[in-house]
Amino acid sequence: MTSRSLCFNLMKEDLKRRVWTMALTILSLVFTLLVPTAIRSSAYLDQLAEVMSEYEKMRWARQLETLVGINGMVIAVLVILAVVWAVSGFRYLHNSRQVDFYHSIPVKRGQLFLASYINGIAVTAAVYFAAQVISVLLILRTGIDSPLFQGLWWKIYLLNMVYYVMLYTTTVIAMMMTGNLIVALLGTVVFCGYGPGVIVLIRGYEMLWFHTICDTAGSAMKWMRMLNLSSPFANYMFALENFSQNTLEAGRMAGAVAVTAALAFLAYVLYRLRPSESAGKAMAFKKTQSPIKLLIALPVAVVFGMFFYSLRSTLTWGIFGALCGSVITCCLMEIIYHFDFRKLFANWIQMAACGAVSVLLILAGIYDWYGYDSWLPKATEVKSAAVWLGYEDNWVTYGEPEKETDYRGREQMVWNYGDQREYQYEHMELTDIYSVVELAGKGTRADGEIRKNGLHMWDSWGYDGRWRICVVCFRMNSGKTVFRQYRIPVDDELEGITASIHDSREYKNGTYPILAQSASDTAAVYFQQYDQVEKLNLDAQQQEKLLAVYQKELEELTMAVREKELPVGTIQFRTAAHQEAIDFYRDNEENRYNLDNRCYYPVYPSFTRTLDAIRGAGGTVEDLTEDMVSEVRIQYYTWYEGEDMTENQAAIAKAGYDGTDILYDDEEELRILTKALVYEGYYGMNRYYKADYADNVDVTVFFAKSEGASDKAAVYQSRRCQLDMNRLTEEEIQRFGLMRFEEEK
Amino acid sequence: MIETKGLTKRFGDIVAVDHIDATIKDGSVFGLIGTNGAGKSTFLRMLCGVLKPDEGAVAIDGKEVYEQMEVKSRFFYISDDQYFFSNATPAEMMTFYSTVYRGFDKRRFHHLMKSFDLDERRKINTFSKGMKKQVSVICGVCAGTDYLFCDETFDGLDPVMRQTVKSIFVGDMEERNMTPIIASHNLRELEDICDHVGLLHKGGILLSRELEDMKLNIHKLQCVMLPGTEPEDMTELDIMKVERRGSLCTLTVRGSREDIETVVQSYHPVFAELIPLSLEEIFISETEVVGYDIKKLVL
Repeated sequence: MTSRSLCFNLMKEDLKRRVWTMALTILSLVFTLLVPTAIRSSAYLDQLAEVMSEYEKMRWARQLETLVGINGMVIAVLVILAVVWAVSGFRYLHNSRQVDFYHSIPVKRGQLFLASYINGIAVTAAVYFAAQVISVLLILRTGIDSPLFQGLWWKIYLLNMVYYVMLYTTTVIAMMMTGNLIVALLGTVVFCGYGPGVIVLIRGYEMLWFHTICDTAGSAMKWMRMLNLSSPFANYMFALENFSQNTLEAGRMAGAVAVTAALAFLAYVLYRLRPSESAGKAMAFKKTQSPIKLLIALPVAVVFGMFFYSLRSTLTWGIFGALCGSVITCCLMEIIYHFDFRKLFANWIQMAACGAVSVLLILAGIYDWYGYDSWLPKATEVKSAAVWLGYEDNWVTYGEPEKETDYRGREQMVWNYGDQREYQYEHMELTDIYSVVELAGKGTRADGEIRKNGLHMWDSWGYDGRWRICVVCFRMNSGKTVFRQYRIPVDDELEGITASIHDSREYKNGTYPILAQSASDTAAVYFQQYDQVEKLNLDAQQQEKLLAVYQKELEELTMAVREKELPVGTIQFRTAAHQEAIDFYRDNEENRYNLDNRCYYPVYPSFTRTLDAIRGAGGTVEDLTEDMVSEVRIQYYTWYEGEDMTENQAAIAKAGYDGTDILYDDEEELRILTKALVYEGYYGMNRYYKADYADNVDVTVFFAKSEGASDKAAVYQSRRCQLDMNRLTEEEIQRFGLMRFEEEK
Repeated sequence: MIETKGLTKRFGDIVAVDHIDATIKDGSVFGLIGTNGAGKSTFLRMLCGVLKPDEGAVAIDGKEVYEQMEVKSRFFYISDDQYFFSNATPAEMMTFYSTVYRGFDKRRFHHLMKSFDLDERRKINTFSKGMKKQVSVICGVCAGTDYLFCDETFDGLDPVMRQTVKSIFVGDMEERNMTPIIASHNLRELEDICDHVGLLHKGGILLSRELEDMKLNIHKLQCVMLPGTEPEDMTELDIMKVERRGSLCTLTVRGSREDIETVVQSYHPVFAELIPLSLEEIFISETEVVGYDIKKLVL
């Protein structure tokens, strides 16, 4: 008998003994793929497709595409089947009677392995293929046209099968390395979860003790890449995500196939090396016991240490946690290894070593032995820098619209959002390095205080003032780029440093994409004041001139101006790509409001040349006066209870108590309130403005120009505003029951 | 011929088989005797390639056993608790064995199953322990291998069935020179079938002899000597042990029957008779010589 025919005969014999696994495979795939597809497709046929709108047809198509595409139920079933087939195929290795039986017969271990291994793949592949093909045929019968039905279905089939084999082989390896089913299943969980778990632990460790660590797109990408490669399961999830976004590359799939082949070879080698006497023991290879134990115990000990440190932020609790984690995990592992509770201290030296290392890691974190947070470069070592000064300019729109094609072959327009920080890191080239190093110095000193006081990063350590979160990107002369995030108490010195950085042209150029926009990119200009949008009537030359004027005035904008002025309107230099995206949404009858409203920039009163140009182009620029306001509705959150309240104060107190609004439409009231009104769109664009906003009210303004400006008016015709108490007398503040945050307390 | 040289197997700190040198000749029945935990099963599992020796080697006709299919196809292993597939019938087991043993004799299988009054279509897990042993023996002899390794196979068989199995073994030995290697803790069970016996104790082999040699070379002599004559006076005899009950002396003597008779007659005893020793008695004597108390080892 040739070895090939023997292998085939063994496969046949093996399948006879795994009828239940085959039945489970068929049933699960029929009920998660075939039956739902049959139900949905027949339901579609019953819905009289000819009277359906295109949108309804598309909705049905997408539902059916999902069934033969990225079907969560099928994926879950395949993951479970991978484990079930691996377990049923190599379960005999965990039973000494069966091992004696199989290993005494005149069949090479390699052939025994192959027969079981191939069966575990072949049956699922065949059943899944049949279910997938029948499902596609059922959907084709409905007449729905989709790229998925014309060939994409086999790509998802291949993708799922590659990862099925990868997970199946991983479980087979777990079966090889253990001698007990429960331990093998735990091993599979470890193989699939250890990598992601350790990555999450490292992230947690960094976030807890590397106070100045800064997340960037680059670091996020690095973490995601590591997570992607950390386990077969994580890799599968990432591959599905890539497939759904139509970004799955052939190279990546080839990599997955290569890894699967390597794992299969490893499983084969392990099978051959596996001692038969390991059946029934926890671990098949004694030499793997200690490394596996330490690899599990050490991270768990650090997690325990971090957990207890987080509870009390003291060294003692950190060490207690680390030691606790070491002891518990090492004991548990020893109990599992020996299947004997009394063996919990069987290897106390390793336990002690694990405890010592975990305590060292906790101490290193608490005391910054890495020198990570205390690192401060010399100004001469830095080539250039970029700084993120906080959320003050978070109104800026970054990124641009892009047309994408999903895995089903459908086109869609999405705004590829850019991150403000990333834009600044990429485009800002600050040359005033001394200011940046000074800022970083304040940050490291502040962190030093936190550590000295044994406090957590986000504790206030007795400081009751404001904080500023800053990120500094140092581009070193060595070519290295270093990011640090600082939390610095706000004082005059800090304000001086930030003003100096803010006022530089490099800061503006690295913050506002409009400054890099060219006239040729600009399709149209829109000016918006309050809720009124006007398209400015400009020819190409005027458009270019207005853009240049605005860019210059924005570039020259200083912190001193921002502290005194609020925008009087906003301007949008709409790019051709932006206009194309708006047109795409209009053509597809989808809501484009959010697209229309992007990329507006503030126009300050001191931007006189810009304002002149707007007026020259027919734009209307006017100050907010009481004539423009018909009503002001104020909702009060809190109110004091006092004696001697005026009638007005009593009404306000009652409104605050009842949670109702008070409408102000009296001419005098509107005159007072209007002079303090700060339009929501404008205060959001300038957080540096020195205002004294009332904190206990929610103000809604109804514009006189709006139709139906009354309490029955639709809310969207109104706008939320703030009330700047600096513009009111004390008597007026009292009259309207306005308060500061401190007073509320 | 099966030959082991320095065969050693350790399970952690326990040395299950300790440097065993043994030779099992073809065409004879080799009995492997020892207490529970003596290493019999481990020795057999190494012989049949289930376990890989830590030291030493097992060879059949000079060829290594472990992972050598050609060599492994020459033996069939019946473990002390033979595995049958879940819910399998004897017929299904026959199908499997015939896949892996080229010389499996299906006709004989059917014949023996009928002879033993076992239903081929009945699930094996519904069989009694003895019936399962019978099925495994039938599978073993039908595999047509040169060697049959039996681990405690006769344990659980009733005396009639034991004799039947023995006769099948004898038949196969005569017909095709099959060599059964039988491990057991029961001396009496092996006495009437084994040609060669190896005694294992604590992983080591205490002795390994031809049973016939042992039987022919050791005798029990019961005699009443003439007054004034003591058994010890027969210095020509290799006396291993002397027991006295009144004037009746029982001697365990090494040597051939003829030589012993000649020497004893020359001393003109009042009464003298040579009695054959049971295997158990032979072992008691032989092991006592090497300093072991067999009763503690085996019985």
